[in-house]
Amino acid sequence: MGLKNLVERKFRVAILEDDAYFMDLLVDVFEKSGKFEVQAKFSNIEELLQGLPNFMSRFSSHPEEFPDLLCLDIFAGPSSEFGLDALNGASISLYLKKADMNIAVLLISSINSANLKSLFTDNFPGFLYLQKTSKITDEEIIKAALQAVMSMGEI
Amino acid sequence: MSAASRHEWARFLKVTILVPISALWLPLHNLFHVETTSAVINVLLILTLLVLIVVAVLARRRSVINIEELVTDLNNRIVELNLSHELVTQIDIETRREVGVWLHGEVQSFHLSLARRMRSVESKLAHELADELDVFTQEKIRFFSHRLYPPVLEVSLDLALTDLLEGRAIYEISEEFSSRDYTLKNVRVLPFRVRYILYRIIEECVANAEKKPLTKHIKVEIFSKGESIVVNVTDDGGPVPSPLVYGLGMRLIEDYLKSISGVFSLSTFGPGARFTTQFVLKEKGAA
Repeated sequence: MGLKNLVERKFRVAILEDDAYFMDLLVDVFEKSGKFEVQAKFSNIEELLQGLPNFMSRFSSHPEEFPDLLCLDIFAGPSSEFGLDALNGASISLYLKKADMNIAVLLISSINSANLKSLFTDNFPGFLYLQKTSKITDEEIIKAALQAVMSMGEI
Repeated sequence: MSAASRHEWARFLKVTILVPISALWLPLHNLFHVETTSAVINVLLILTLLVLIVVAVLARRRSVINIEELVTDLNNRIVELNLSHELVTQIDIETRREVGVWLHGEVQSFHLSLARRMRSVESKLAHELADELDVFTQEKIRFFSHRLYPPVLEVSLDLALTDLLEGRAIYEISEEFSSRDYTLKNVRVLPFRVRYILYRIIEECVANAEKKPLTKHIKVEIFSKGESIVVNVTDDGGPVPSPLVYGLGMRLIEDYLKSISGVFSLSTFGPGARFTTQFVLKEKGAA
């Protein structure tokens, strides 16, 4: 998919966020931007896990149904045990990348760690970390989301 | 008459009458030159001795059985205690994680959205309250949840240690556990219990090394050796004190390590001391 096509159409975004207010805020910000359409909303990891197989099974055959961007809260709802590890927004996105899913990820969390930010932003194309604060602006969210999607398009 | 007082009476009879009579019979017999051919007395004497022997053998057998029962009981209690200890350690880690993640996730998110909603109201007071809520969230909730369970541990041990040791110690982690060497094809994550235990152990050891007035450098190393994980924390602040007195922190380390079948040693190393632990990574996580 060329960068031109990416820019011309709206990007599909799936959101994982357990706080109802932030979910509404993100949906509002993405929809109002005119650059994104919200394709799916998950309020906890369990819901995301139930929805993921549908996405993955149709990944190759129906790319048009597949989100361009996953906007994930790292700690959304009770963490779900997966084998010996716990799943959270960060590990889900890493597993998806491991499975070669061509998808951009915007991780939003209140964790304040420069090392976490640099790990995701510097090591994985299409990954971006945005710290969730009460003063986060609509522009910051859209800028980071676009940056993540664009860096995927450049691969 | 109770069993205890019957036992006391039997003992009294044995010690004060039967034993002296049996023991003194022959000497007295000779001393007073008592010539007796009374078969009845001799038979009684022999019977008394036999009874005493049987009583002694039975008493010994009973005490051996009692000791064996006590040993078995004690061993069972030790096993129970160890199991409870492990359970407490496990519950401690899981509770810290659950509460820490809840505070960092749901509670903080709720506070952030509340502060944001307050700011959307055209009121100076609402804005001031939002600022206060932000400060409380950052200074209290974030601090407390971090003390309980550093949230970055949910993502990677390496990341959490990088945050912890920045400016405090030289930190080296081998490739297989390093988040820096993550590749999209090869994502390695240690089981969360192991991550937490290693984090707490290293945190404790570094804090101990920093307490030594002569310490200038601390080095933390994590690497694999066969099927094992090895952790070294080395300082240059003087040798291991002798005799070594275990504080609460070292006991905590011991408990944590026991729960993953690990052991540790403290030894004098160069100008300082080295803490080493090694354990087999039984739980192979999504490593």
